[in-house]
Amino acid sequence: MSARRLQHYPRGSALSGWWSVTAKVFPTRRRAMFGNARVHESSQVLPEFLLHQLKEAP
Amino acid sequence: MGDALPVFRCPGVAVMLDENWFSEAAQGFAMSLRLQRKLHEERSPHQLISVYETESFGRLLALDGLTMLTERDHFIYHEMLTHPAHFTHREPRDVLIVGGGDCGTLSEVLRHPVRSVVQVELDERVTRVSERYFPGLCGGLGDARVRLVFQDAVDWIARAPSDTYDVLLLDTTDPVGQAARLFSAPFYRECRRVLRPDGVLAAQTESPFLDLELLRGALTAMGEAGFPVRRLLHFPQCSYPSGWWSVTLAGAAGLAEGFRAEEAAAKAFPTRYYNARVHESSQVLPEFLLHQLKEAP
Repeated sequence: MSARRLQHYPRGSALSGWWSVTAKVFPTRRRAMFGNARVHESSQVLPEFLLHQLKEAP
Repeated sequence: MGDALPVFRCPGVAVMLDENWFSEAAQGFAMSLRLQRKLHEERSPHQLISVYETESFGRLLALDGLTMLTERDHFIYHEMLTHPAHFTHREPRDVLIVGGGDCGTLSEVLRHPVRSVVQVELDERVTRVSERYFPGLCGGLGDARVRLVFQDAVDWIARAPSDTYDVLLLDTTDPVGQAARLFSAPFYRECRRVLRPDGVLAAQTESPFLDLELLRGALTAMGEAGFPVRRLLHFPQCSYPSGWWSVTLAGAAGLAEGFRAEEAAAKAFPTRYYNARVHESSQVLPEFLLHQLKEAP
């Protein structure tokens, strides 16, 4: 529920409101608990079966 | 009200779980597979062995109610336990498997040009049941390079000669009861002893999400046992608790130099999960694991 994520939705829209409420209920932690730069990169590495299955996708 | 737990009525599929589902529950968390029928059940001298036909994951092998493998997703675990260790060692020739009664790991090992494989499994009935219900995993049993030993691995390894193996794979059940000894420093010390100096240990180390304390304990114990370098590899395992599993590689200082990436990229056999980039990326740890494991020596 980061501030950056909130910005994706126009102010006043239903989604903006939902994120605002959620952000209050579950306050943002200052430090990411999962993501980091190396995770960003490695999460794009695909195992063999996905490489083959997705080869045909446009 | 006393100490009675409140009863929740969950909307959706949760209320529909009944005896037609196999559920592995631990730590207030359950993974379930809808069953079509029970194919086999027996109580061996060591455990309850069950085989089911599931609706969406093919056949399921369970020991004492714990998921060992499903036909649909076992390849991930077996490939990740086997290939990173083999492509980390300079030239793996002699291999020891501890556990692995279903023979899925053995079949992956035999894809490498190894000279000998010894598999030490406690319960022969697991292998015989696997031969009948998972024949695709057991093709290697007739291979002349393979020697099967059905014995307690702790006893067996204590009598095994030193400096004998290049790769040692700990394909063990969960650390419950007798199997808990297979996650201890004394046992890892024996593993260190039977490995050659540049040998590589690969151990299944449970869920990096649900079993973090156990994982930290295993890493610490390996360090105490004489494995100065440990590398955690993590990967999805849909049918295991949390759907996320880990293997730990341990070895001498040479382990830190990495793996034979070019050979892994040009491997001569097909895989369904493992490739050279997966090998590398599976060692990248998310923030919470980096912090939680920082203190393990």
